[in-house]
Amino acid sequence: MAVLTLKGVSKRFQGKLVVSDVTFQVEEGEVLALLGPSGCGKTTTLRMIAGLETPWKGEIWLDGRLVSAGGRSLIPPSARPVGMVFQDLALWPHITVQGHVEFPITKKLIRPARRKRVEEVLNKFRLEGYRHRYPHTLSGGQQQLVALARATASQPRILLMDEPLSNLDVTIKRAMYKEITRLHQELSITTLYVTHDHREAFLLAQRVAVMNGGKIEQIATPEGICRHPASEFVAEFIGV
Amino acid sequence: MGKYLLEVILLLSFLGWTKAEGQEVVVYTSEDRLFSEPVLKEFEKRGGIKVRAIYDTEEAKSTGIVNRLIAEKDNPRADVFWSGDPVRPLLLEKRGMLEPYKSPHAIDIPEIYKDEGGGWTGFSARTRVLLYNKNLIKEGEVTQSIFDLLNPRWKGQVAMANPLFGTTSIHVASLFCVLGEERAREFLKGLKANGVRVVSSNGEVKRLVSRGEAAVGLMDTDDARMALLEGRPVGIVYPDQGGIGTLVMPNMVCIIKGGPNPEEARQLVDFLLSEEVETRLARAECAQMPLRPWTEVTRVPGLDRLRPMLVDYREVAKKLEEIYPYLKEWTGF
Amino acid sequence: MLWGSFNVGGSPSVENYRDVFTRRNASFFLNSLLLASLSTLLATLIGIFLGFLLGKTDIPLKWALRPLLLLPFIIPSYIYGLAWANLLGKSGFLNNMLSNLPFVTAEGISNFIYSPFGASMVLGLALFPIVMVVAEGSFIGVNASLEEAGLLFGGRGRVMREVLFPMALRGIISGMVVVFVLAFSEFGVPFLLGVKVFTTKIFTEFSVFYNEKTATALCLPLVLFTVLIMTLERIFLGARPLEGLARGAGGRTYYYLLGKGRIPYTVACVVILCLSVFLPLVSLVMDSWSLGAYVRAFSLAGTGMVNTLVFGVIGASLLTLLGLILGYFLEKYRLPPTRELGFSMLLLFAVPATVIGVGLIKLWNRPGGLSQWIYGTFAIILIGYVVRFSPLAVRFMGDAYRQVPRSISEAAEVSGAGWWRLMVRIFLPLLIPRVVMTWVLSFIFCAGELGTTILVCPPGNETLPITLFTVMANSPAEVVSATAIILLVVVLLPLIVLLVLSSRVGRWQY
Repeated sequence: MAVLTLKGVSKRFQGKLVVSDVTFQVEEGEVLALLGPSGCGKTTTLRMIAGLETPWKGEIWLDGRLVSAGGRSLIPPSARPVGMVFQDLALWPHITVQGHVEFPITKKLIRPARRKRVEEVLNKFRLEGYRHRYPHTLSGGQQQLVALARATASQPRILLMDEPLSNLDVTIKRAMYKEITRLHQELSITTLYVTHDHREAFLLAQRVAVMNGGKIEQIATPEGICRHPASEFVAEFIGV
Repeated sequence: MGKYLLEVILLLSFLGWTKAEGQEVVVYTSEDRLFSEPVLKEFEKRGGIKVRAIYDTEEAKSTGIVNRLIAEKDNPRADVFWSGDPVRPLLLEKRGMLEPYKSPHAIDIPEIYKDEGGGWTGFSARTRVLLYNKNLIKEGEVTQSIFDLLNPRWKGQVAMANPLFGTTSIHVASLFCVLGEERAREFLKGLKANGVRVVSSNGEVKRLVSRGEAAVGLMDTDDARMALLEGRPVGIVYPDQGGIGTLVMPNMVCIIKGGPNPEEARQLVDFLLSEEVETRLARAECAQMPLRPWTEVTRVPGLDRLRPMLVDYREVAKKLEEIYPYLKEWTGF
Repeated sequence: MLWGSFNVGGSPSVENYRDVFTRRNASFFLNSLLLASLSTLLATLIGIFLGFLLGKTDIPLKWALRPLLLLPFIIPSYIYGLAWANLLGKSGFLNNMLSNLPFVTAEGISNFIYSPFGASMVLGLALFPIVMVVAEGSFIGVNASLEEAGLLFGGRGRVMREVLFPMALRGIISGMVVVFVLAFSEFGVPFLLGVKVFTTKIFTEFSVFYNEKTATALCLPLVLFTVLIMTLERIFLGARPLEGLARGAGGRTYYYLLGKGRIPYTVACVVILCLSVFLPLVSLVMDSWSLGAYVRAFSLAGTGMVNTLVFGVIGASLLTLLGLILGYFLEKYRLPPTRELGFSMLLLFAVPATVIGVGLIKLWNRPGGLSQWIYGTFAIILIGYVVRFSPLAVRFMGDAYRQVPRSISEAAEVSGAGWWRLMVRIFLPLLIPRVVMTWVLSFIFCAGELGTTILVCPPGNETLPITLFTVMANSPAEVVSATAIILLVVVLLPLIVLLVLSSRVGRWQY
């Protein structure tokens, strides 16, 4: 069963159509990359899935539930089974690493279970040694891990990542690719990954959706896109 | 909700739900707090009736209280209005807000200070006076009449409060009654031509004369007395004793129609109109003049020894409303 | 409800408005404009200077300067004006000193203080603490790395001009607008100094003619003008960048070390302190200084002191809470209904206190039930505080929300936080500096409120400003001064406690 389904989703900002009739599905355990130049509507699409924006038209289904439809948000972000890594990471400056991990599960688990889960997550991201540190005292790569740990702590059905690596240098980026791949193998968490870097998309995702001007131009495996780009734009964008 | 009940009750009582306790009376007064508060405290001590008072501020002289009384008209909260001047009760009278009451204690107060219908009754009075600075005016030169203020000798050295407000407005209206429209206008014009300084209040006039920033100014007896008590180099003149006389302004007390405690209100009015209160106010720093001619006073000349300006307060109130447009023009408001 | 109180107070008809726009009223209006502009200018210059020194430099004695420099704003403006009239009047101590200088006559100085320019000076000096507080907060809010980046390319002067000030502009302008509106609607100082402005005109309508309808109608130009200013501000600021959240991105504020400049800058601070605080205070106390006066003032102040403290604290807390909640919705949704609400609240800010007082009486003084209870107790005073000052609190808090990057709160929402947890866990800790600032300003406003309180205060109870102004009539100058000083101490005490506490707990600094 598809974890996430979008049916004809559109979004307008001040009369301008920024996302136009987008339809796709993300299957259980899959990593789908949403690839496109800046301003193509990929981030807006992601935010609609998280519930941070309301679609103008179309339906969004999460885990078999209708969460947005008919121009309304039916379920608020806080109740959607998603985790999200923001482009600027959006770590809370006044909360410790441990606090970040605890935050999403405070309401969901009782105390002993919560403590166990926190240890588990800190462990998995190798953050035990930093549990009492504040975000600004951490390195870029560590901050990235904290954002990931927070997003996955509550075991969401789908992980939404909004260009999380765009601000990192090449070395850390490589390390992070490894980390994300490893996590994905260990947790096999369904992921929607937004990026403008086609190499990143091809490296991390099983399927890639190429967006342009608010529309999806093509959805296929990386191989399929390279071999048979659906349009001139796609071909140009991935540089074949 | 249940578990917060106690807190709610505590809060309510803390916020001062005083209604339930014994007898009380609510009085709004525009008489200076310094002098009215001790009198009200005395009444409280005497009769066991709690007095809840609102005093007026200097900044908004007499306006806060009267505005409030008028705004509360449909659901009066005050029982008694103790006015420091003889005109504001007439504003309330005009709006039909007074409850007539002829106090037995007022029997020996001269008729001219009482409303025949019992709406308001006067007691302890102040008069208008001239205060001069002894450093700036020599003994022989002292102005004996308000008309001397037109003398070019005092150009730019005379101060008075804004004639739109307070007792000054009453004074000016009385002049219109006594002198007639034409002469009164001439007088005001002359003052202006002589560079009179129009300031915000009688207190300001007192401050300027005391500090020598003005040589002479018009004000009430109590302001002048305070300047003396502060040890300023000033002297008091009761003007026009050989002419039109000086304006006498009694306090006035009245009962508000529909107030919450009518019985207590009458008791307070009786007390205020008693000879004892007049004596008290005469002996206080403000040295108000008793209306009962036989009451002994030491700090100021008794009313029997002054020539008062002969006016009917109701006429003054009427005149005041008539001349407001002119006064507005005159002051530039 | 807030809006209603204004409407009920007015319910004006067309005729009342017909006479509003006359030539004479135009001259009052121009005077008001002149007064407000000049005082805002002065307050801004001093405020930015001091805000910068307190927030961005290592100037010594900050802990003392911070509360002391709030004093001009705490002294009721009428008293402050009186002090200056004493100082610069013909026989004033400062006048005597200055008139020894060439080209200056005693007459000239006296004329100055009783003119729109003198009144502007007094108001500018009385109101600069608002700009100071807001500017300091905004300066601290500028992310250190932005300034450090600038330092790679230019000197400190250029960084201040091109990075620091543009980044802090939003906050500073916000403070300026508040000062402008306050000066525009100020009554006490121009009334005392004989400057004919719109508010004294309204007062005349009220006190001479007891004509609440005309008076309310006269508020219209004030209100319209305020709306104009606020709209301009919105348009202008809409295009401005937001400040970064300093604590967010690195927890650091860049400090401009003064080095050798420490001494002249400290001297400058002390000079401002003397001019704006000590001189007026001394002139208040100079007349006489006796223990007896204080004993008497204390017995007069009595319950007023407790009331001022208790109701100031409750009022300031209510206002801050309201600011937190409404500010959030105003900034978060920016929907037409909330924007209207924000706007109509701003209108209230320009309405003179007396008009609000009368409006509250008409609204709450009804027989029986809850309204009877509210009107008869201190609750009505709190309502008065909220009605008068909520625009201010909402404005300051609303601005603060804009400083927090959106993703910070979105991250919490996606992590399962509802509105309550979002507030308590995310916004409140991040906004603490601004919350403290809003509370401090609200407290000063509430504790000094006179115009509305005198109209609605339950009989037999009072707050200190009422004590002070009722005592002023004919009391010996020393008792008046003593009462004024008691008021100052009562207002200053909790602020000192709060400010000392907040400099201990570094994060709380506004």
